[in-house]
Amino acid sequence: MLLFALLEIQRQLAYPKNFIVRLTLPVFFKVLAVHLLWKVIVNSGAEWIDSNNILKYSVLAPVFYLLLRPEPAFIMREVYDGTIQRYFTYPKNFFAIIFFRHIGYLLTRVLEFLLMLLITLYFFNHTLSLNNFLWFLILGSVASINLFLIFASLELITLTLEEGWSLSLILDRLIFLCSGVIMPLHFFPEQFQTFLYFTPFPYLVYLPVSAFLEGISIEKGIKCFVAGLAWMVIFIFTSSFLYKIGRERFTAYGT
Amino acid sequence: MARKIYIYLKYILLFAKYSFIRSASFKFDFLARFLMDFFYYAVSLAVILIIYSKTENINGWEKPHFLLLLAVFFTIDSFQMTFLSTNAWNINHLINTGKLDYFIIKPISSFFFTFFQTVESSSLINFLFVIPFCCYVFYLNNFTVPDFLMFKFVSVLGAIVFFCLRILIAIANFWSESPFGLERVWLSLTDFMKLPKDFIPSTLRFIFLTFLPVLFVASIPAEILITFSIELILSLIFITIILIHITRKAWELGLLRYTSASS
Repeated sequence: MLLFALLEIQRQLAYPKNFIVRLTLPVFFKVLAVHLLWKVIVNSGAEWIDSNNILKYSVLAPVFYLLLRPEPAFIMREVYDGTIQRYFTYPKNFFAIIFFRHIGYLLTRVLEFLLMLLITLYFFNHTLSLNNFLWFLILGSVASINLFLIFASLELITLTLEEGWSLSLILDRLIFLCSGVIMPLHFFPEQFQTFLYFTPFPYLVYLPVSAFLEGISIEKGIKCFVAGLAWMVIFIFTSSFLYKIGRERFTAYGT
Repeated sequence: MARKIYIYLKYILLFAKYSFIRSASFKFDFLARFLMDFFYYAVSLAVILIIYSKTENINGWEKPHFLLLLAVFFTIDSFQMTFLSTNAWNINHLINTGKLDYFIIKPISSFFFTFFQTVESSSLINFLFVIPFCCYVFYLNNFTVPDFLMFKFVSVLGAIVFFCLRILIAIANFWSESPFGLERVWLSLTDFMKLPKDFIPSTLRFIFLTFLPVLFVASIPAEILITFSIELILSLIFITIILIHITRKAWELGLLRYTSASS
């Protein structure tokens, strides 16, 4: 399985210029756009926000999501060109293969993520406590696996239906808003916030990043962890179900 | 000239007809694409509405003004999603597989045929959302007839700027070895189009007004509608003309660079 991760790292880094243009620059511009919007709001003298925290959040939240989400079309590109069939014949579990490929992809981005983390700590003069960091690690890991599972579930739909690209962009936009990538969820109207906590969205970005920046009580941390795990179980069942159905209906060249 | 325009309009109608037939065959694709655009606009709008529920003014920009900027952007984006987006997205595939050959040998402009052969009917439906939104924004900004005419004028110029920049990014595929690489950079740059130019630091603003004039898509047109500044109108016209020339030249150079897959 580690071989799949290594192969993915090799594939990603085979063309370094391509890697920078395809993956690093878009993240940089997206983070910059979000950060500039909040910087101007802070400079306008807004009293309704904690200016230092929102500036840190406006960098960390988009970085966290954009660097830890799976590579766009990581399953569907193989569905469309039919190469996904090879995994059906391997004597290994399909999900284990794509998960380790995803781990390989994440490893290529960890350096960028750590760099952005250090920049945030340095430029915003953030003092990080061990407690906050540990909660961030715990909730962030669960969020990262959930991001993998939620996108995998969605991309596995393409085994059954012809369209997946638009659906993944819809999900991307929903996560941007409802997971707090563009703005922290506590700015949302109360009722909408309450509703959101019944969905997986807050556990994907907002809570891990908030735990890192502001800390989180043990009770709330455990609640978030359990909720994240519950969503993980739901996504595992959903993706397995979609894979099972999709595999029966999937047709490709030569099948 | 008039006859040429008539012929090309007939072609666009023909492309639209075939695109509608194709869309009717893929109903789920049609719906998903419509929802994709809808969510894109809805999320952008929701962010601004939530921010303005807490404050009345951001750096001199009041809510009606910011919504006007979004109205200009949504209008232009709907046009490009309908007429250009799919074609520009496909060019990388056409170049790498050599299928561009079929576009070059046709007895019409290869540029026109490459970039306007698919009309996305699902994106055309976006106007069902965009037009009422624009009407609401016109009402908020107390638009008069001259304001409305100016909106149409700057939106057309902004759309041309958007089309040229998008096409230039697509043409860069003749030189780039990165599949979809520049497209992703382009997608991330569209976020800056939805920001007023004063929100961007001076160095970056200079780049976005000159070498990569993304601010001329919606930000400058929206500012023109608010201030009616003659300088801004002239600069928008100037940039539009320059970009049209650069795009035409870049396409010619790209074709010279192109080696079909079989050669």
